[in-house]
Amino acid sequence: MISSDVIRGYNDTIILYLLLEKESYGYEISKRIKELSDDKYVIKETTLYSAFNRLLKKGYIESFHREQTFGKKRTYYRITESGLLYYQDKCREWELTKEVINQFIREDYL
Amino acid sequence: MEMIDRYIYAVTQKLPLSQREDIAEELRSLIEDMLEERVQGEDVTDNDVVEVLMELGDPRQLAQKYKGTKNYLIGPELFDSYMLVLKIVLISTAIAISITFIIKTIINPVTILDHFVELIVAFVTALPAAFGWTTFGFAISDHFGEINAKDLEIGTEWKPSDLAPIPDEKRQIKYYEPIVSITFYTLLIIMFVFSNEYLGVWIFQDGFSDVVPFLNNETYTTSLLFIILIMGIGITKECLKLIYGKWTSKLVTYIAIVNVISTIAVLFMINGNAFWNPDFLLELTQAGVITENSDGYRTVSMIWNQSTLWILVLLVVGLIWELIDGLIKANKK
Repeated sequence: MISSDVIRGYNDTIILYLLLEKESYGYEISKRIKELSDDKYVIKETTLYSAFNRLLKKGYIESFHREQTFGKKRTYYRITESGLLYYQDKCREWELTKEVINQFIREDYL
Repeated sequence: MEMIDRYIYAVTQKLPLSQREDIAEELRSLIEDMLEERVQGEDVTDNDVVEVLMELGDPRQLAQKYKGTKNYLIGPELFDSYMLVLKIVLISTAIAISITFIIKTIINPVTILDHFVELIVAFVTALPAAFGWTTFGFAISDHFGEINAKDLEIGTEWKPSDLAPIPDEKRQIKYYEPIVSITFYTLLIIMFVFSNEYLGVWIFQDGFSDVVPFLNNETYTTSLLFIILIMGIGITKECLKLIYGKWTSKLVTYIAIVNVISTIAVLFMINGNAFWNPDFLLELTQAGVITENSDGYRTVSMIWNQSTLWILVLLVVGLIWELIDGLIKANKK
């Protein structure tokens, strides 16, 4: 399991990726992250909550309520146009980061 | 299910009002989701609830994490100015206290022990107070300035073309100007707080013998509050200059507001007889500095009676001049 500073900077990217797949809500997203990372990365609910707030403020996602069965109401999120642009930026940034850091990683030391 | 309500209450109770409803809703659907996953369609038992709540952990810690927006008093934008002002204020406070001690000792060397105790007391009380007020002032401006800073951050991509032009030499506020002013204000505050009894006309008869005070001793406590307030406003103003670093119309507006407030405070303080020593002329005569009905007496009495007016005029002219000067500099291309 990882919980490092490196990955923290990409929490928003991870969330946006999942919202690109489909509109979703907090708990589902945290489960998907756990699932897709093979239980190696677990994001805390509170981290997720503040990430949503941040992304909402920046206009990268928008929220709406959706009625569930049994009359439950749940906050859903969807990605916006500028959220997609930001996501693409972050993807390029990661490619570059990976490339640079890889220059300093020696496979035979692993 | 009552336990869930209690849990949500325990968490949200620790949160600011504005966030409570939102987080309560969020937390409730989270708990329900977690329960649903756990029981997989079966009935939820109390035991399931307990386990889910255990997983979420101590409500106080959870509340802390939900809140977790800002855990600093003075942010990085203001920190440099804060450290600078703090240093100036602390150093000038220490210097002022020491000078007060030296002067008192020179004037009255016999009671050096008393002066020394006063020195220690002054250090213990004034330095933490200076530290506290400076920090308080900056924490307040950080709190209210936060929204502004966020606006700036939104444009994450910084471009060289965004750079503001270098302000004209004449628009810049010289780095040392506010520093000198803050030092000056701090020295004045310390002087008023710790050595008001020396604020007056010094009488020398076989060496130093007495002081005829300018201010009214009976109302001095109230006056002192005003004086500290006015000086504090002055320091705030200098801090603004230090933070802005150049004359802009926004800075001029702030300074105009601050100047109006301090003029009102000065008017309030100085108006009426209670501020000045009502027996000043009498005491001066008794001390033998002036003789009644002489030319000297008339001159001194005229100066004394008109001093309030002239101090006010000078102050207002000074403050207006500062504004005009700032306005001219701000509008320089």
